[in-house]
Order: sequence, then structure tokens, then C-alpha cells
Amino acid sequence: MFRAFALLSLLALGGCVSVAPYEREYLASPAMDMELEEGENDFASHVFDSREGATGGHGSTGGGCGCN
Amino acid sequence: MSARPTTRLLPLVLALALVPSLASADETTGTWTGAVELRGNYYWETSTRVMAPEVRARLDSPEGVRVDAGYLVDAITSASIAAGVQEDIRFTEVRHQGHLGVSRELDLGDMRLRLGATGRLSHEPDYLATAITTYGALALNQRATILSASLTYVHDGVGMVLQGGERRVDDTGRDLSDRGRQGQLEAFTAVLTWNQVLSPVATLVTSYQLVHNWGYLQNPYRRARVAGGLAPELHPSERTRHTLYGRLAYFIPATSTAIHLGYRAYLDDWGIGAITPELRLYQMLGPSALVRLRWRYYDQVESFFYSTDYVGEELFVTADQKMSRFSSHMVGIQLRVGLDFLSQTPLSFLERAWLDMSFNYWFQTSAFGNAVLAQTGIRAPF
Repeated sequence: MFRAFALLSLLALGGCVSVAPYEREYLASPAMDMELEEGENDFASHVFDSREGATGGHGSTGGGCGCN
Repeated sequence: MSARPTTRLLPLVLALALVPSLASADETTGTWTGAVELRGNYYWETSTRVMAPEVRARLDSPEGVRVDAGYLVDAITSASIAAGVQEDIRFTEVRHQGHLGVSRELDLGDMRLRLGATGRLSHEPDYLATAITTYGALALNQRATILSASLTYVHDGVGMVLQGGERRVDDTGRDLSDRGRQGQLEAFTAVLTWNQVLSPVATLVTSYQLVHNWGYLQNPYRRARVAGGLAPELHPSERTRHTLYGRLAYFIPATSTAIHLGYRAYLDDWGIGAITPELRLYQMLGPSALVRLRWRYYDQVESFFYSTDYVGEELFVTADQKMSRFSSHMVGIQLRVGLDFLSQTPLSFLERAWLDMSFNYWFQTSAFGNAVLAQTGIRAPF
């Protein structure tokens, strides 16, 4: 688990070489834009919080519906 | 712990949002932008059904001020497991939730700093949840790197209203089903997030979240099996929760396919540990259509005080299935369609909008059983 996280962080460090905005055409694709899923994810996260012991990773902080 | 740090930060954030801008990315165009989103959410399992329409809006000014707002209504039809009653009585409860946020982006030369605050309120007959979040996001390397931090204070009032039977009142007209306030749940949540563009086709998001809960952390309706009888739940009055999360997204130009790999690791001081790997595959079907396939796995170990039967000498007792050991698989499909074909029609104001429809099936080994999560929405930028 922590190895995977460390690996992802190292990958991110390697990415500190800046990618210019004009090189981000593919990143603007609807398939890469995570912001488009924000509304969908918020409700799904609320469901997960009310049915699972874990929380987090998506910004939800509980409240209502047995989410404690 | 107290709410004082948050209440000190809020006026500062609001003041920064209202002072004249030094500069902003949108100043060159001088136009207001934003998006309106309408969504319908549906959740089904053996004991619970939820219908939840919602509306969201975002507005960005040329000076870098952003306003977010949203409103959601939950109609929750529930029965035994979720409510904790012993017979299969169905009842419907309505929850209203709204949020309002404001933020401002400041130009710091090579960097941009967005500071903001969001308030959220959720009300249902037996639960009032309030939360306020302050956050900052620092964009570096022409937004190739975004470092953000947020702090949330949660203050919930937990009540108890007996549902499902005939409404009874006393001689003064007081509703006897309303058992009043049972307790108060509070929390501080801190989140650190690192969003990185790795290459022209890859991005990575990593985050760490710390939550500290205290106060009334059990459910007033649930009853645990204790010494052959039933007794109210009693959970520890504090809980500290840690979450690590990462999501790697990779685009394959040759096939217009995107692969998103997510992983979440969770640990708390109630003994619960959980992992959540997730895979999302996106396939563009031309410039204005997309299909998404999804698989999400969840596995957790039980809390240190979970049992199906207690002898009566335990410090804590629970009937919460979320405290048990279980796992789940969720599989889902989503179709997203751009509405650019409306450009020559009276509905041309929707030509930049996208419509999405998703269906997810959830295989769970917990007592909640299998479930369906279906959602549809339309998001119209302007």
C-alpha cells in the first residue's frame, strides 16, 4: 500500500518538468477531465460513506444518513 | 479541540475574496463564465431506496472570484436495517442539503493562489449537519502542479424521531415520536492534495486526509444483541481516521482511450483498515460521445469492538454493519453525450452541454446486500 503510494509520488516528482499549456490537448479531453465527474462523485461518495467504514479520498466529510 | 482556528480564518478568506484583484487569468477576456448542472440520483438496496434530485451552479468572474452553490433533496425510503427497528416497517424521510462557497484567485507572479471558503447545511427531521471548509490552492508551473490544503469543521446535531407507526401526541399536542436531541457529533478534517501533470498524456492526483471525530458517534436507532437482549449502541466517543489516495490518469491518443487507476488506503483507531482500488476505462466515440466502464473493489477489516453477540461486560457495543468485516465489488457503465447537435435548434443554448447516464451494480457481502446506483445529469457551461 505505502510502496504504491511512494511510487506514485516519485512519478509525480518526475513530472515536475513543466508541460506547457499548448501540450495539454489530450488532457483537455472529456475522458481526462475529472472535474466533469465532480457532481456524480459527490453523491456516490455520500453513499459509500453511509455503507462503508472507511471515508475520504473524495472530499466528503460525513453528515446525515448514518454517515458517522 | 475548538472551532476557533476556523472562525479566525473565515473572515480573512472572505476579505481576500473581496479586495480588488491584482490580476487574473480571465481578465483578458473580460467575460463571466460558469456552469449549471442538474442531476438525478437513485440508490436501491433491499432495505433502502433514495431519490435525490440536485442542482449545482458555478460562476467565475473576470477578476478571479468564483462562487459555487448547490441544493439537493434526498427522499429516503427505509426499513429495518438502516433504521434499526425490529420489524419491516417502511417510511420516507426527506433531507435537504445546500452549500455555498466563494473563492478568489490571486496572481503571485509565476504562481497563482486560490483562497476560499464553503459552508454546507443538511437538514432532516432527526439530523442537522453543518460544516464549514476553508481552503487554499497554489498553482505552479503554468498550472502543471497544484498543491492544495483544506480544513473543515463539522458540527452535527443528532436527534431521534420514531418512524413508521401512527403519529401520537400528548395532551399539549407535543409529538411523542420526536425523542429530541440525542447528542452532538463534531469533526475536524484536514486534506492535503497534490495534483500533477506528468506528461502531455498523464496526470496524477495524490492526497492525504486526516479526520478527527468526537462526541456522539453511534446511531440512536440501532440496537446490539447483548446478553440475549437488545441494548442501545455505545461507540467510543473519539475516532481518528487516516486516508491516502492516489489516481493516475493516462490517455492513449491512437485509440482515444483513457485509463484511470485509483487506490485508497484507510486506517483508523477503531481498528478498521480498508483498501479501495478502482479502474475506470474511458473510450471516446467521436468528439461528442464517450463510454466509461468502471470497477471498484472495497475490502475492510472489522473494528476492535464489533461482534454479533455481546455478553454484557464490553465497554462498547455496536450493531453497525459498517463496523464488520466485508468486501464489495462495484461495476458500472456510463454514457456521456455532447449536445452540440442542438446548435441549429431553439435549444442552441445547450450546444456546449453534456448529458451523462450511468448505471452501477454493487455486490456487497455486508448485511446491506447488493445495491444499484444510477445517476443522470446534464452540465451546461456558459
